[in-house]
Amino acid sequence: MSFYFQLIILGLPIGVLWALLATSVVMIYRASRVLNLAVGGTAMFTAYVMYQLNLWGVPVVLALIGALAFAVLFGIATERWLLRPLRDKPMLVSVIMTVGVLALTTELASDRWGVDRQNMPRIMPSGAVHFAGIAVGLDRIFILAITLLVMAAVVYLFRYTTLGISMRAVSDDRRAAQLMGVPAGRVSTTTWALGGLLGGTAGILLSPVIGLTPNGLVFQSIPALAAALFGGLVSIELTFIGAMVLGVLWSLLPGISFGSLHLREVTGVQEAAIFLLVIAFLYVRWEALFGSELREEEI
Amino acid sequence: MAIAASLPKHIALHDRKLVRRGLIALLILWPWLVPAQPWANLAVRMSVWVLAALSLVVLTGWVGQVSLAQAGIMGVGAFTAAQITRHTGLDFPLNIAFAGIASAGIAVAIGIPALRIRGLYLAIATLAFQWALEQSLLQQHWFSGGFNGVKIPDPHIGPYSLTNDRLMYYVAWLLTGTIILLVANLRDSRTGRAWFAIRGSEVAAKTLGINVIRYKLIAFAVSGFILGIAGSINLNFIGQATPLDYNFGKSIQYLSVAVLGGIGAIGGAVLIGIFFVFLDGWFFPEILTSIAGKIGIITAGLLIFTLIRNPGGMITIREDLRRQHLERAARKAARTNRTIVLDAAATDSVLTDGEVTISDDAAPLLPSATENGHTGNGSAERLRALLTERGPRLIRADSPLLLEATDVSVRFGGVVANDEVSLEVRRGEITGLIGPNGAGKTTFFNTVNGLVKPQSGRIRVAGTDITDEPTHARARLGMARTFQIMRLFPRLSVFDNLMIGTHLQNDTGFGGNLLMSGRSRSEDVRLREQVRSTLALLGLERVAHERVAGLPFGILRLVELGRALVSQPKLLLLDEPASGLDVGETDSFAEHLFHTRDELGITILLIEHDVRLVMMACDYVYVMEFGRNLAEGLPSEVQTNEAVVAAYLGEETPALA
Repeated sequence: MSFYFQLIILGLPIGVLWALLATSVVMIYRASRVLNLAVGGTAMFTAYVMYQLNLWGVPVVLALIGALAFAVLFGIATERWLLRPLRDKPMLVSVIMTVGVLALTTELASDRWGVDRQNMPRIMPSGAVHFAGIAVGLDRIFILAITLLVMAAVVYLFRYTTLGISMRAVSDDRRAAQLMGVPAGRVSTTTWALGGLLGGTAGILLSPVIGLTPNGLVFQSIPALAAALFGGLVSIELTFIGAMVLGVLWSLLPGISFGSLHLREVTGVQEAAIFLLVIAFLYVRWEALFGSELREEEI
Repeated sequence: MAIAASLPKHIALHDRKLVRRGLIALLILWPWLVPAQPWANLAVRMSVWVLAALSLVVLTGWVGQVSLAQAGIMGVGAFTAAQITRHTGLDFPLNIAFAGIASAGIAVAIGIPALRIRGLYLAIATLAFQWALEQSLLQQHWFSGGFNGVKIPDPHIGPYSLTNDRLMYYVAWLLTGTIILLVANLRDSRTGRAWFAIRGSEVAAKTLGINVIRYKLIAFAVSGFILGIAGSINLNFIGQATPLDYNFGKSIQYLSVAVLGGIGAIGGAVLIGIFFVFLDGWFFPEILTSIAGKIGIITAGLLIFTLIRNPGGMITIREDLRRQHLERAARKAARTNRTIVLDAAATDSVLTDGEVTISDDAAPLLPSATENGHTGNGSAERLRALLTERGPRLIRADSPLLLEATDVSVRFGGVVANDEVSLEVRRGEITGLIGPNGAGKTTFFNTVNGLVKPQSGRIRVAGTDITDEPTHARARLGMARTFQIMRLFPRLSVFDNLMIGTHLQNDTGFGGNLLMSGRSRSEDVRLREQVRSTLALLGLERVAHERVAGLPFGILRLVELGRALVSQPKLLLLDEPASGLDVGETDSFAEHLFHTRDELGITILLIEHDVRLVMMACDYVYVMEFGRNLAEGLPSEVQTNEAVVAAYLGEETPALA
């Protein structure tokens, strides 16, 4: 039992960081009605920027700040130059645009830094605390704390601040919001800046956990999107739960055996499970996402 | 474009023929004109790219289903073929078929969730699918041979080897050419029209009798099959399949090619596919296996650039031009083939009667004459004469029941939209359904139509219980409808919108459509004739080849009516057809209703807010309020019913013309 418990503890940071990425997706979707498939690209590229800065001899703290600044600028640039021109086009065009961004970041990173794993500079405390015989790394507690803090801040932002209410207004009806005096353009830009910051943070925290490779990080988009769908692209709380479920499943699967079949020996069993969950979440949450078939066509 | 237009027509045509012949000659001689490495080899790779882009043209361009898993699907075909070849010795050309079938199978597997998951969400699902395929199936040693892939014995035709040989060029482009022709056949047939309908509006497609599930799965299968062929070309040519050739990057590159080619255009996919491989070979000749590399950056960059500049693609091939060309060809065929036209004679004789009614009154509906002239005296008098002749009957006719709804209840969550609504429509009548906004009229329509499932109650058509039938099956039983918020296919012409409406009149199947059989062709000619008559009946000839998006509202209402009429229904459901029309257009619409009832023999159930139209046109009227039946009767009775007056008409009864 404690073996599985240890696995769950190991899976916690992954789930938590998927929740962070998913929060970026939900926030951007709620404020600008764009489903950002490129969130993994932002995360990956930010991590590489920090890696590169550190390689050039920039101290870790400054490299961290520089990378996060890059993430914010990247978010703003994506919104300003790539998505704003598509505002009046069908939503699918914007989504394909984010796919293009995802591909471009992957290809650029593979070209610049290669597809092999690189070592991230260390930013988190080492050491562990012990609970009832189970060792919990301090870095994991650190990750959990940061993420919960960020997510609470996002919930607060949407519920109680003028900016959050403006974001929701702009996504509901841009024209009406503008007529009410909401600076729609600035609201979109701010959302994307924050979305970039969340994605970048997640990337920097994820890379020591799963390794700094272009493909490895880019595809973190998928579990993040799955969690966001579980939350109906609205609820931050449900998104968090969805991400934790995925994270725990991810780390438990390799520990499961059926007789002589050990799942850890089956290549890609985790990815296949996530894919099936994406489909399942879409099926289960379809009503919440759309309501009825007649309504979904208007999208 | 401008130059071509200024040239005398015969010269332009002659040139085009010459250019086409020159191109074909160049294609045939290509491997002998250039050194095999890299140019002939590149030409084979081009066919793979062209086919991959083509699979997206079908799936995304025509059916509106996005897939980011095309490379993975292609890989499944390639590895299946490789394994079969390795283990059973069934090699080229048989392994082409295996690859096609395997890819089609896996594409249908991802197509099944797509029956419910749509649009951008399908993009996520297929992205996840590509990732899962890449990480699981394409990593299994027994299937993909791991990182280094699977080698197959040298494929050959007789004593001639295909690996890295000119011969493969011919095999590849013969396959590609054949697929292009077959896919073009599908596009121009009943199957293609069903696909366009699904792309435009699944709901509208269903109401026209199109089995959306079936046609979507066909599209996934066709798209997958094309990918499998591409995968097998890759396999036989290199003599090997490697997982890296089928990764996410490749999927995006194929998507870029299709988008740049103006997703939906075969010619664009072919040209851009060729251009990209050319680019790759020209600038990066050393990367022959094309593992990511610069070409990935360039394709992703161009995809982004194209989406910003012109989401229609770099090459915009005007669909409507091609359509008009088709239309001319069909008309010519109709002239030379009298027997086919005779098939349509039955329809024609009905329609010629109708010309008396529409004569010149339809003309003012056209954009060229939108001034108010047609609401003048002459028209009003004509209408009055028409009303005394055809207006509401004073007693309810004793004709048989066509539609019978009993105690239909619909709830959405806690909201009761329909509460035990009952309604009967008699054959040959125009039955009205009125009520204040939010009374549940449209919900009732959707229930009759099968778009909404009722919690209780039964619906019968001509005595048959259809409560559990899907929408497209109800259309097959003779039910057609229009929508309050119109659901036309905006990217198609008026003519093509009506052509899609003929789906149920056309009994050709997928196979016939694919091969463009004689029957497939003659049905097309017959139905085009029928559409032309309907357009003439509604006075829409002048806008027949205009794209629907951008036409005036009054015209669109008629187009939607026409699309319902060409399906030759028994029962026509019209949801507020006069909303947004002015007085003159409404009167004209009433005339079309009379014509539909009397000459075409179609029974009508009409939801309408325009009290004038209801009183003028309906034989019998039902009134709903708060989701329940409030009253029913002849128009004159309903008009004086106190409950109705209180609920709906206001304090006093408005004076009617």
